[in-house]
Amino acid sequence: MSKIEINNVFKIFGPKPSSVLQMVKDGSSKEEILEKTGHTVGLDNVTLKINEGETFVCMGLSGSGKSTLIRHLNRLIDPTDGEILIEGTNVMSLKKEELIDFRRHKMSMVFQRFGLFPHKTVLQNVGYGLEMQGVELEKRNNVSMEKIESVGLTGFENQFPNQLSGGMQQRVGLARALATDTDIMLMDEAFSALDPLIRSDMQKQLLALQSELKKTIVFITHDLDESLKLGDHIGILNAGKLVQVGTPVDIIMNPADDYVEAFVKDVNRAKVIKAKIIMKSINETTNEEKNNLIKIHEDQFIEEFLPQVVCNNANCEVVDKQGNVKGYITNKELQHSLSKS
Amino acid sequence: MATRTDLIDKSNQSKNIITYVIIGVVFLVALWLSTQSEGPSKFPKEVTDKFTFTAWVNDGEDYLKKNYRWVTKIIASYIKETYYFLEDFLLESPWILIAAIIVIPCIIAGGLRLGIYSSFVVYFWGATGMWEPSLQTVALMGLSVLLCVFFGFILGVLCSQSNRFENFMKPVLDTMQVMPAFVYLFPALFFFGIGGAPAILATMIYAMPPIIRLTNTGIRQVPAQTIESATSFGSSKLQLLFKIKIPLSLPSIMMGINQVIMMALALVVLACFIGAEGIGGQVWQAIRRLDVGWAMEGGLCILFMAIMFDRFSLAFSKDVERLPSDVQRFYLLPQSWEKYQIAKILEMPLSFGNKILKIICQTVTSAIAIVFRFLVSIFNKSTAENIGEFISKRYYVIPYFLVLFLIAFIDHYFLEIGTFPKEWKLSIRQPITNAVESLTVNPGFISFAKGLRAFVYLNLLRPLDVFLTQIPWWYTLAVFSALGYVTVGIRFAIITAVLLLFIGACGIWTQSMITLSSVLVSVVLCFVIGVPLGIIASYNERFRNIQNVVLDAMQTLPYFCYLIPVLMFFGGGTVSAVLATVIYSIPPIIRLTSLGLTQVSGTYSEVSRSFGGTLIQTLNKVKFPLAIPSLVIGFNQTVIMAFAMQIVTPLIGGKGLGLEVFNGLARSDTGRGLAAGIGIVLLAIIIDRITLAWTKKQREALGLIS
Repeated sequence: MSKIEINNVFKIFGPKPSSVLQMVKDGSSKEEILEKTGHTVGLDNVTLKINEGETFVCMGLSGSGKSTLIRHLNRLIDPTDGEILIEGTNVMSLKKEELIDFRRHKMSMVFQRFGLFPHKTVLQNVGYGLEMQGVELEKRNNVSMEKIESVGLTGFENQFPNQLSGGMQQRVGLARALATDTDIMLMDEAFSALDPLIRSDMQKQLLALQSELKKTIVFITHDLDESLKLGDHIGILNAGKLVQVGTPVDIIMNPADDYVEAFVKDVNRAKVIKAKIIMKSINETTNEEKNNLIKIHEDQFIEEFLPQVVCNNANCEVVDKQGNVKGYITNKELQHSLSKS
Repeated sequence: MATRTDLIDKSNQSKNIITYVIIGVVFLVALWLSTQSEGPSKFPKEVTDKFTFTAWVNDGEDYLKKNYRWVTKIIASYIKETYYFLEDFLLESPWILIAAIIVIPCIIAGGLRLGIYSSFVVYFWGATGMWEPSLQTVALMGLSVLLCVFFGFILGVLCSQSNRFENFMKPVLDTMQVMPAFVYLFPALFFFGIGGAPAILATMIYAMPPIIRLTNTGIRQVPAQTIESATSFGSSKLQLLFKIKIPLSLPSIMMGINQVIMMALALVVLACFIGAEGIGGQVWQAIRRLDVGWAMEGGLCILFMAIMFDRFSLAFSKDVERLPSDVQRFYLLPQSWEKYQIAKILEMPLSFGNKILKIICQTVTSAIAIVFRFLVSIFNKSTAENIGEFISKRYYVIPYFLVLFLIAFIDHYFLEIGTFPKEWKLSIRQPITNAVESLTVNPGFISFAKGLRAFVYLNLLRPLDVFLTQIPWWYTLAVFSALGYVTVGIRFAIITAVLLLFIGACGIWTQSMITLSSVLVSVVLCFVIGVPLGIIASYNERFRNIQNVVLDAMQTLPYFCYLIPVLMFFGGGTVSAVLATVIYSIPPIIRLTSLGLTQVSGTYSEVSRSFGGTLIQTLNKVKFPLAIPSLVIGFNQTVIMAFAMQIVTPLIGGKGLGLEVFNGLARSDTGRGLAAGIGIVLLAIIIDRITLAWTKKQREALGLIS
């Protein structure tokens, strides 16, 4: 069973959303509806499944509805129509107290502009979720200190947020989300406000933490590189519609429509595509092409073996961990996979 | 690691504990000292006997009167003559002319709605028999506003041109804005004697800060790019000032004029205490005779007048901003009703009439323009063009003067219009008196009023009075200085000590403590009532909108008006004084509570909710702490307003420094009144500085100012 299931969710903003719902269902476009009724379509028939322990990245430009989508998961925003199942429970059916309890124990969230409380110290900020749970002070501080250490901020626990740099602030945000030890973590453009170097640092830290903790992470971003780096699966939103869901390679190799294609056009493919994706099977390969071979591992990215190929004008023999030959890569495959269709 | 966090916690907690312990100890010692003392604490007699500030002031006054009176006499006589001229004109003109002078500009600036309202106001003056006092008030106010805008504008321009001058003016303006209005009446009385002239001069000075400030900031805020482009075309400094900077800062200057008008009205009403005529005097007399109906009528006259002038000057400043013309179309009914068909139909004949009127005005004006152009072109062609254009652009103003001339002409040659027709009179004095009387004999209301008075007096006012007056003066002085030291610094601590010593040496220590106590009680009540209202308003938009309208109206009113309802329902006495103070000074605390809470960024409450915070938890742990700086500013403003109110509360039985001021005025003992007035100002300044410094620290701690 999927950890999170979203079924046919619609969200319409405006004074009378339900009156417009039918129009949206009948397939009127976002612009049409805005012009005719003054309502804005936030989400248009979104359905997706997220598996336990994976990082699902939801990508789109601003206004595509990605932040709206993530806020449906903990019901900071209520959908106009549709259902949201988390571990099989319909979130929509929760009563007020149940919802609060659900937010306290099931999910935690990291915010774009960090959302740290300026009047609380780092320690108090990290402990906020636990405070809401009603955990007593001493235990709260111990857990918080542990998490502060895990994001590498030991020594800063009594500083106030405005005394920290942007990257450090977001680590506090991360620690705060980790502190409640929930299964699901929602990250709303968590790294978008950081500058590139610190951002890639934070991405590495997140990957390291994730390989240890195996949480279900829903990550929102408008940056394709980031989504390719972090995501096990990627969903691409455009004007409230989910246009494609797939693995990073799926998205790059088989864009579902022009929109996605335009998106992936400028991606450095060599960084994302692994040898096993583009190799041809042994049967297809002619003997001529088995000349002048270099051995490469099937999980290597093109980027890593490309220099060798160019220097030696060689063909590649792809092997798995045991050293069994799995396939071959010639210049033709390389050319095909690297050219921007 | 656990030990580390423990340590951290301990250091934080112990810091808090130490603060609370110090506060507790200071309080307990004060309590012990005050119970030890037999009566009110007195300053050493040797000091008060030697420090005869009152006598010095009176001597100084006599000296000035003897030697320099002729200077002030000349100034006063000029102002007096202008005032009498204006007053005579207003009082002897036919009433229709006056009505036209007031109503037509309102229509031009604010549309039909303001026009109808202003005719109602004019009618109300006549109907209640307040025609003369109202016009006297208008004359006083008009002259002071004119003078104030003239000098204030010049000073503002000077400020904007010279940083040194600005730095000199800033502290002066700051002090002026903290001073209660009343204080300005003293020096005026001192130099110019009794009557309209000192009232006009005092009002002029009192109302000047906003126009100076807003002219200055308006000119300084002209974008650098605009100035750069003007300079690149070779404008000289003066050209830059008059062709670019001043025209661009007109909206800001108009806002300044609006504030000047409101402040001037407030003080002109109060000026009855130094013998100026007008509605203020009427209300004062009525209050002294406990004639509630009459006082109420006068109060309503002031209220309506205040709202009219406020809306009029606001409409004018909007006109400068040049609203798009279609906003004007729906001008009787609210613009938002445009979607209703009925509103459109109702509005049709009005907009048709508007169009016709506009065409007539334009035709008349252009006819006049043609005549002028022709006459002038005999001498000089190009000036003729300029004059013609100048006239034909003002197609509302020129017919306005035509109408005025016409009325005056008819009145003079054909039929005597005279004063406001007696048949239209409609006094609401008696009904109000009756209604209030019937309510005040209602046993339920009597027990409520009695209970409230007893509660406030016995549980708040009396104990605090005793407590504050019986603490030895040196102890209170030490506590205030220490507060000044902690919040602002050593310099302010010394200043605080000196100021309080001055109060003590003047022999008004006890009165000061009584004033302080009633201010504190009022402020506490304001908090208890105001903060919950602010919280509700921050959550409920409809409630907030209604509240804003009420608070806007409350803040347009001169202090005076607040005395009347309290007097009506609760009679005179110290508790009534406190209640009037509460009503007057509650708006800022309500406003700033709701503002502070709504301004807390939505992200914070979203974060809190995402972690499962309930409504109360979010309010309590996140929003409220973040709104504290705003709340303290509200507190600060409330305190200042409460102090300002202390000067009028003696009218309904308030005690303390206000009463001293009052007695000083009544017995023309300038020294005594001045000392008490200064006392109020000093207390207000001390508390103002301490709270402001504390807010600043709070804000810095929260990282709200960089």
